[in-house]
Amino acid sequence: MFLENYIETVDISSKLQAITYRQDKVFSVLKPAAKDKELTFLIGRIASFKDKTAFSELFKLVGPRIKGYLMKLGSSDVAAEDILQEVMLTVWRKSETFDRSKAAVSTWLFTIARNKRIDMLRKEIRPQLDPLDPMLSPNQEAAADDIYGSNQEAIKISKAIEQLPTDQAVLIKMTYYEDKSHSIIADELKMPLGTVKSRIRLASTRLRKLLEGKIYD
Amino acid sequence: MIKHHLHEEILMSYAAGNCSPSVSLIVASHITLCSKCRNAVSIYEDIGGKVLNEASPVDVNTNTLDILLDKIDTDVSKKNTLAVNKIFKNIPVVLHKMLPEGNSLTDSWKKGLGGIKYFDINLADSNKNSHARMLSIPPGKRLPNHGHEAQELTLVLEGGFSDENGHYNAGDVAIEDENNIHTPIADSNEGCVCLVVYEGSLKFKGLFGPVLNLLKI
Repeated sequence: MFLENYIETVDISSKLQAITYRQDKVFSVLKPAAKDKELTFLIGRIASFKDKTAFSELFKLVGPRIKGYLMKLGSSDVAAEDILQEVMLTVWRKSETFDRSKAAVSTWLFTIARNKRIDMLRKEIRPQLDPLDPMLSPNQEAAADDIYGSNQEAIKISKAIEQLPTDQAVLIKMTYYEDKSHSIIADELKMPLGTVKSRIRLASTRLRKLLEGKIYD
Repeated sequence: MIKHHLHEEILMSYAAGNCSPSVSLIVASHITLCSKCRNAVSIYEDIGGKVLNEASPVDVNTNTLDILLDKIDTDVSKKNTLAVNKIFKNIPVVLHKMLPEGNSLTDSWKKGLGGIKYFDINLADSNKNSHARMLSIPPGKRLPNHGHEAQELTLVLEGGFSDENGHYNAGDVAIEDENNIHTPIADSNEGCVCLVVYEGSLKFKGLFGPVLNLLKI
C-alpha cells in the first residue's frame, strides 16, 4: 500500500530535495501550513527508510502547530511539550500505518494527538477501532475523502463553523476547541443534556453539508 | 444489514476525543461492524485535522528535536500485531480484548436471574462514571417494561431482540433516552448477546436496567 504512495510522490521528493540541496532553507520555502503531499512524502520516507532527516523536517513542519493546538485545548507549555514528544514518537513508530487513501495527514496527526492527550492528561482508557480487525465490515460508501476531498484544502473549518447558527457554533467550538464532553457543556451552559445533544446533532449535519460544499452563503 | 445506528453527536464526541471510555468502547465496536458510522467518524476526525491545521504554531523548545532524535535512536519499534479473534467470531477485537479468555464466550461470566449471564468490563480505574456490561439473555426472555432516567446504549453482538421500536440484529444499536418506556424480548431462537453502556450514576437504569440492577447485588 505504501509503496504506491511513495512512487506517486517521487516528483515532489525530487523537488523538495532540489530545494534542500540548493539553499538548505527548505523550511522557509514551504508555506506555514505545509501541504499534505509534502508531509505525506516525509512520512513515507520515515516508513520506508527510517529516515531521520525526514523525521527532523516533519518535526519542524508540524511540531509547532501540534504544540499550538495542544495549548489551545488547554495544555500548559510543559504538558504540551511532553505530549508533542509522545506524538512524534508515535509518528516514528507507526509511520507505516498512515494510509493516504483513508485520511489526510492532518487527520492522522490529529488522531494521534487526541489519543496521547487522553492517555497522558485524562489518564483514561480509550477503546478504539482496530483497523486490522477481521470483523471490519466492507466499506459500502465512498470514503470520507471522496465525499469532499476536493474541498479538503479549500474550506477552512473556522469559517464553516462561523456559518452555523450561533447556538450551534458555540457547541461545536466547545467540542473541538475546548475538548468538552456533552455533560460538561450542559453544566457550563446550564442547558438540559438532551438539548445539548440534539443541537450538536443538528450542527454536525449542517457542518458536514458546509464542508461538502452543499451549502453556499 | 444494520438498521439502527449511533447518533451523529455521539460519533462526533468519539472523533473529537471527549466521550467517556464506555461510550468510546461501544462506538469503536459499532463502527467495526458499520461502515456508515465509520465513515461519519472519519469525517468528524477530518474536522479535528482541520482544527489542528488552523491552530497557531507555538515555538517548541530548542532541545526537543535533539531529545526526540536521541529517543528514536534507541527506539525498538514494536511491530503492529493483529490480535486475532479466534474464538468469538462475532466480537470486535476492541471489545474482545476486554473480555476474559475462555472456551466459550460466557464461560466465566456471572450467572443472574432467569438464565441471564453477565460480565462487567472494568473501566472504573479510568473513569468511575463510565459503565460497560456484557449481557447474555436466553431465547424468548421478556424483560419487564420500564423507563429510563438517562441515556443508555446497547449494541447487539449475537442474536437479537425486539421492543416497541422494532427489531435489533447483530450490529444494531438501541439508544434509550430519558422517559422511554418499553418491553424488550430476546429472540426466540438464539437469544441475545449484547454490550450495554451507561454513564453517570452507579446504577443501570435503561434497556435492561431492572435486570442489571437485580444482578448487581
